[in-house]
Amino acid sequence: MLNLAVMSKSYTKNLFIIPILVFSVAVSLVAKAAAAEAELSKFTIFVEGMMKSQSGVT
Amino acid sequence: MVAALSELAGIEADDVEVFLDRDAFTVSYDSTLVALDDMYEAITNLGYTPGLDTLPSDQERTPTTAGKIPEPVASALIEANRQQKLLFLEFYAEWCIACKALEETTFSNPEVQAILDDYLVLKIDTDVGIEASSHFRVVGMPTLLVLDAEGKEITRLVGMIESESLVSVLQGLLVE
Repeated sequence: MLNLAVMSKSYTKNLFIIPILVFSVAVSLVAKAAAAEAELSKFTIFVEGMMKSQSGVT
Repeated sequence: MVAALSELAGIEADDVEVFLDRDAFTVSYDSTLVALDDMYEAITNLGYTPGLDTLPSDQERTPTTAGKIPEPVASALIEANRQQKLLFLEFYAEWCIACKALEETTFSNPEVQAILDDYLVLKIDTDVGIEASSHFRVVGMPTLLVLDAEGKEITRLVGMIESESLVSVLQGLLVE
């Protein structure tokens, strides 16, 4: 009975950890996504005659 | 064209912003997955030519080192020679998102600013300096050039560049 009580207490304790772990993973994923966004390069390309042919922009 | 570019790895359709009135578009891309040459190829495959529409016909095109250097580059070159410096050209536009990003990152770096003190810097707005942009065959922005005393192009950097890389290139040119 005592063992069960200890196990139950330990199990309950572990349950509290799960949201923390989920939160940590979520924060990590958001941070990674933000880093990936920040690492995108940007370049502006001129294209001859693009304006003359609107179909070229579809 | 947006569809063709977004088929390339590292580019999503939302990453392409079209400036139809400028015959241009800005692409946000993952440089580890796609190169500028891939984009040029995609554009060429659609039958278009990357570059400013004001460029002369193919028959009239000459190497950037040939022909009379247009203003304001010509005057800047004279001043650069007087100061015994190399001429650093930055082609940009007010509406160029990539150029603004470069300003906020690389050009705001103190080491970059320090090394550029050893160059004569000339910024050319491609909307205004059309002749100069055409002469130096600016295909996109940002484009950075370094010219020697004769006005010969010795370095061309196209697209985003990290501060460390730019400092390294510019230091290398000063040593030569």
